[in-house]
Amino acid sequence: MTVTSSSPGRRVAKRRRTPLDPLGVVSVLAVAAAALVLTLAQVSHPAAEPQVAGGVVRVDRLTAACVGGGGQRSEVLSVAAPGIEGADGGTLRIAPAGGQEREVRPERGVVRDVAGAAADAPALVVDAGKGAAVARTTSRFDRDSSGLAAQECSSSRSRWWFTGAGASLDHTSDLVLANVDPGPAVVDVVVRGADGEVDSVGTRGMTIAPGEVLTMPLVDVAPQSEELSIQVDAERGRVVAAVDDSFAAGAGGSPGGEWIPSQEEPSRTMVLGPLPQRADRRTLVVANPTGREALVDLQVSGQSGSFAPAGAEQLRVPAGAVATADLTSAVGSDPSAVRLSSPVPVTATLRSVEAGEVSYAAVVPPLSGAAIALVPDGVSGAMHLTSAGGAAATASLSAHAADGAEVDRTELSVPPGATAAWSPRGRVAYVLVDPGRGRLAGGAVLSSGSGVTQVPLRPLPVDLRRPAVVPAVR
Amino acid sequence: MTVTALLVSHDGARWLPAVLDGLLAQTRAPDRTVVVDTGSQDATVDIVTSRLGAAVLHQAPSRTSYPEAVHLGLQAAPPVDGAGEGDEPEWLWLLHDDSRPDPEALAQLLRAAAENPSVSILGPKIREWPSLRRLLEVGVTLSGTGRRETGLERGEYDQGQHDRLREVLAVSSAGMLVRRDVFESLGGFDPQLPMFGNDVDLGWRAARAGHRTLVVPDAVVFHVEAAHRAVRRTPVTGNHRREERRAALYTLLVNGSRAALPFMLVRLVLGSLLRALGLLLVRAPREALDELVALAHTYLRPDRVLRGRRGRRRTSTLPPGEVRHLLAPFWLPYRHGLDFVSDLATAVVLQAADVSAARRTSRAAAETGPVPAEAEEMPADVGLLARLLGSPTALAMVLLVLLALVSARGVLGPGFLSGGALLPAPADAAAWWGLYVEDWHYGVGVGSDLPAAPYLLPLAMAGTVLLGKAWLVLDLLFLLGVPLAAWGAWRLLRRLTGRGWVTLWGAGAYAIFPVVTGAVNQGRLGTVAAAVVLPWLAHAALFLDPRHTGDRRWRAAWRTALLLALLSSFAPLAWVVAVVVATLCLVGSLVLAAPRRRGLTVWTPLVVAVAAVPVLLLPWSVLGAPSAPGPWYAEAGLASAGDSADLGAWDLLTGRAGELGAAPGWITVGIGLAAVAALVRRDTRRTVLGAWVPLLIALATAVFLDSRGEWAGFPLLVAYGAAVTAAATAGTGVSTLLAGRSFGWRQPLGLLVVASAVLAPLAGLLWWVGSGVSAPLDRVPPHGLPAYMTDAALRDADNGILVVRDEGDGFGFNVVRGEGVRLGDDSVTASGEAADSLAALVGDLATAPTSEQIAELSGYGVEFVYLPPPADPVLSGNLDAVSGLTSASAVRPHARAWQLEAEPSRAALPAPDGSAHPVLLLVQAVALVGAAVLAAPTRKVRR
Repeated sequence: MTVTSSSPGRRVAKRRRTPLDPLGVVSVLAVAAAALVLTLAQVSHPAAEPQVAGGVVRVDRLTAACVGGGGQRSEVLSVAAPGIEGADGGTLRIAPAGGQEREVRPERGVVRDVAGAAADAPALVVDAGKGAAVARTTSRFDRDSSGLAAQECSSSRSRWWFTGAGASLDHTSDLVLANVDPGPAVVDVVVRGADGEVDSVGTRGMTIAPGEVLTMPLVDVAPQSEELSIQVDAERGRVVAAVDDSFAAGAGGSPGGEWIPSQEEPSRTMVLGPLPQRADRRTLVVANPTGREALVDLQVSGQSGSFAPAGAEQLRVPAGAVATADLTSAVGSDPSAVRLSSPVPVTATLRSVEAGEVSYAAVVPPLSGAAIALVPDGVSGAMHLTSAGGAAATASLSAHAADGAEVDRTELSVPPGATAAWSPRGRVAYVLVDPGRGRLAGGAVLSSGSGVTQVPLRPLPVDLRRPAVVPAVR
Repeated sequence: MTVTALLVSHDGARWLPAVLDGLLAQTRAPDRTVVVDTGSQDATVDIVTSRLGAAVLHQAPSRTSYPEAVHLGLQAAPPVDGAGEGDEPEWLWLLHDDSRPDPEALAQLLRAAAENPSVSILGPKIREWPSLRRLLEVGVTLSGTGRRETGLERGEYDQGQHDRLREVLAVSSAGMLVRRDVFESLGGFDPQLPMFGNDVDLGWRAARAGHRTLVVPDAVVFHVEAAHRAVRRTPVTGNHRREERRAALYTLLVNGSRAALPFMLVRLVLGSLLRALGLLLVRAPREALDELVALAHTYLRPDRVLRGRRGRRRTSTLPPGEVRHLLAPFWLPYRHGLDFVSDLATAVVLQAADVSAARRTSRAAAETGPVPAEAEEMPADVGLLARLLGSPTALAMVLLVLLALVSARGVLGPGFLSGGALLPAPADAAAWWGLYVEDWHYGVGVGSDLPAAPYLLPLAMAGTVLLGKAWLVLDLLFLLGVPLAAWGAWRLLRRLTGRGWVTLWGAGAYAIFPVVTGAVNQGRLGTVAAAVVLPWLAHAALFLDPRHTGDRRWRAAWRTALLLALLSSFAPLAWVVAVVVATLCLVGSLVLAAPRRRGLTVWTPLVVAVAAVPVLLLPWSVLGAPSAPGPWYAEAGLASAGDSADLGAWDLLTGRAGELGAAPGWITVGIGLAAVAALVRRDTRRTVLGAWVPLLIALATAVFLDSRGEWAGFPLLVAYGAAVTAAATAGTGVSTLLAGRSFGWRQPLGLLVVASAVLAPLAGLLWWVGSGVSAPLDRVPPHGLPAYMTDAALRDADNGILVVRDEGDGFGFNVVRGEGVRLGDDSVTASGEAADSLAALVGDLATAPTSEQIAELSGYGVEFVYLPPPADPVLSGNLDAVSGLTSASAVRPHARAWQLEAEPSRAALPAPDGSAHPVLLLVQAVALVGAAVLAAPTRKVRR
């Protein structure tokens, strides 16, 4: 195209412009289109949610077992939390090992002693079906001259950890393993002492037939050991395990009996509680099953908050070994709990000895739901709740009589890191703890004329997590 | 002794003068001559009357068959009194209007007849006319398949090598000397054989009647074989191939022994079908049709055969076995088949050698100019090694293969290549065939009737070629994917840009795509296979250009269709992209092209190439695609595996389809820049824009796939390939171009682009070799299942193994039958009612199992439950606690296994019902063979 000026007087040089190339235009358009597409690609696309998510289902069967032959004054109490919608009916099947099986129809909220005449059976299986299984807890209490002892009756599982057992003159423990499932169980028992793992061939690959209860005195495994931890690992099948502990406070003292509370898995942070408010001696026992040394930081959660105990801020636990710390002076007479944090997973317990009566504080899990502490007749209970998180936590507590009637209730607010206590009035058969905000963990300190024991609070089984199951190609 | 010469003519003016010359020049002239003309339209009648007189000529209608014509001739010349009985028989000498007897012919025949009084039929040696030297027949016989056997090589020269007086089954009717009484007692030629094969039939009948036939090599007749070679068409000859075949079938059926008849009936059908198939395969569909029509024609008229057999029973006096020695030996047809195949192979090899020699010569001439005289005396063939060393392309290929082996260092050894999106190959290619062919897949999960993914067919074929080693197919694809892709790309670019460094660069730049994009490391079978096939498809599609001849375009269309089907079988999106590109081409041509290129015929090949693909992928395209486990457009390979990263502009620009296993983006960024810069060059802009069309479509497709969380390997491959093509097209002679530019902003910028583009393949190759084939692709044992379980599962598919794997946030399960989940099984894994209820059941088992649920599980054909390590302790505990399961040996540590106490059954599994799958498979097979035949080079039909 040639452009010429038409106005006279202005001189415009004749200029040759390159003719418009259609392909050139198309080229520019193509590049523009590519740029547009690239821009579109910059728009971020959130990753698609997995199509099938796991859900929850209502528990419709709960099998718990209490093990170890009891004495004349043993009772097995079972209760299902009141106020659960749509969880009525169902039966309790009570099957003592080697005894007559019987079936009862429990009422929700009413405490039953299910042991009856079978309290001395080596194992007592309480099988709750349908509605009776929902939010049920069962515990065994032994009362005799040596004091008061409590055992949580648990469902069978494949892993158990116990810390604080012993095999010495004054302190002996028996591991009781019961297989209440229809298939055989193959169990490895690993015992660790102050010098590390105790060599024992006989504790590996033990087969426990269905219905069999096996009692293993630790003296046979690790004689002359003061502090031991026990790891039970069912490589096949599941078992219910308990450790019957006998501890004499001083040389020649009469031994007090207690069940050592179990721990499901080693953990890096934990709360040990509740602690009896009076004790002559408090011993923290920490076991480190890992291959690395553990430097465990200690904190005491008292009534007003937590503090590191002077002189016992840290406990060194060698790899694979058990170590102890004396916390008698560190823990006062306030309601307290001990919090541990460790760089490697450890297990722990806290032994309190008071006037020859021994009791153990368990590692108490955070309450993700309602929990129940059973209180046997003639025993007074005090609820200790520790706020495990960084914020204040609340819970509503209600005390119930054996027929389910509410006799007392309160709302507890626990400052961060502190421990609060509540002692209900009246004839209390169980205390229902309904956690509100925050992270709470705790238990009940039960005391009677004959002794003291502690029961941990664990969330009641209401719903069962149903894992997501998807067809996979490989 | 009386000899009556009988000549039948029809439109034979071309040869008749010479024939009559021969007849008249006989040293022993026939006593009588009769000519029967069957309605000639040319000068035949005039020639005969002028040379022999009108008296000898007898005219017949044009539809008169040869047997009828001979019969008419005999009526015109009644038997001579006294002859035919006793010592002096009357002889008939049959001649055709295209057969010229040698002057001595009749004399020699009669001499032989006199010397062998027991002989009733004599025939001359027949040589080709007009060559006069080549032998056509020295007596004939028939093979078991109906082939006319002369015992001669094709085009054999007569050097007297067959000059031996011998007894034969039959002689040609051209020059046949037959005793009239014998001829008439046999009833003459069979009217059912109007033109072809009547001589063989006559000879066979004569032999059965106890007469002997002799070939007399001293007598010579030259024969044009005008009807056989289709030089002459008459109403009677019809379709000569069809008629010849029909005659052969008829002759065999009416003359064969009764005992062999059922066998023969079957054999001829099968043989004909086989021949038709063979003819189809060598692209001779008409001849194949003739074969089938002849078969149908003969078999649909059993009355004719029965009548013929009745007639022969009347005349025959000898049992069929007595003439067996005159027929061709039984092995002869097989020998012919073998010869044909070996001839074909030789021809193919020779042709390939010729083509490459021609290419070499032209290249040498082009590269070196006039050849010096000394060089011309050097031996032309300098050996494979020297040729290899002399060719940069071959060197580059060898280098690439070596590099591939180095990069594969981590995954060599025993085991199966798998990981990421790749499942291990089955133990044998037969498993792929089985999966592809079967209607109901019982061996996969809860069973399904989904057709197998279409890529199993090429995999199965390749596996069969590799002696059944299915794993080798995947090894070759994944470990030699780069050299294979380079080969195709080099071939395509050589066509587009000529031979040069740019072609080599382009091939290298393209070939690194499967590795730099992460497709190899992620086990993306679809992308890797597509990278190998895509250049071949593009190469084939180039010939769809209207500038090529029609035949070439049609062949290209079928080749394109086959390759597009192959590509689409691995990456179904290829077909969608092809449809879009083809539509754009059509629309563009209607708008832009010159009027003469707008015609329908010009663009039909393109339409056919795209439209044929769904047919070629048949059972899947109709039954599979709508109900496939994933989206139907998903590539071959596990869709859920690997990462489907959220791609950004940088990933698209550098051709990275994901983070996992991909190369750093800077390696390939030069390709994208070069593709943009290629648009600047004016003279190549049209071709470059042509490459930009698929580039843009593919980029948009990639963005679409990415937005859905799908793996976008294939569209990125197309975009990347198009970018390489654009860059290579514009890059021819780029150095001269850049050097020629005046110094300005363009020169350094251009240099920068060229440098980054040149860097891409080099850096990509270095990265590939340096990092090697890496995770998730690995060589692993095919499965970790205990051997006793898989043995039980192999024995009976009911003994399934329920494998439940802990996947962190839940469980994944599958039911393994047979040898475990292998490549292809994923494509037939159905999602349906049974699969859902099994998933629910496994969910129950993982939550709180009951013994009733275990019993229900056995109804899904499950014998074992296996938890691979690490077994979930809760799930293991649950399963330990339930009755109905017995703990079994898991072999590996931290794994758990159980055996169901109940006998496994199929109670809960769906049962197969009828499907259209077999029919569609058949259609696909026919379509594939048809397309392959049509894609093959055109064959000149041999007369």
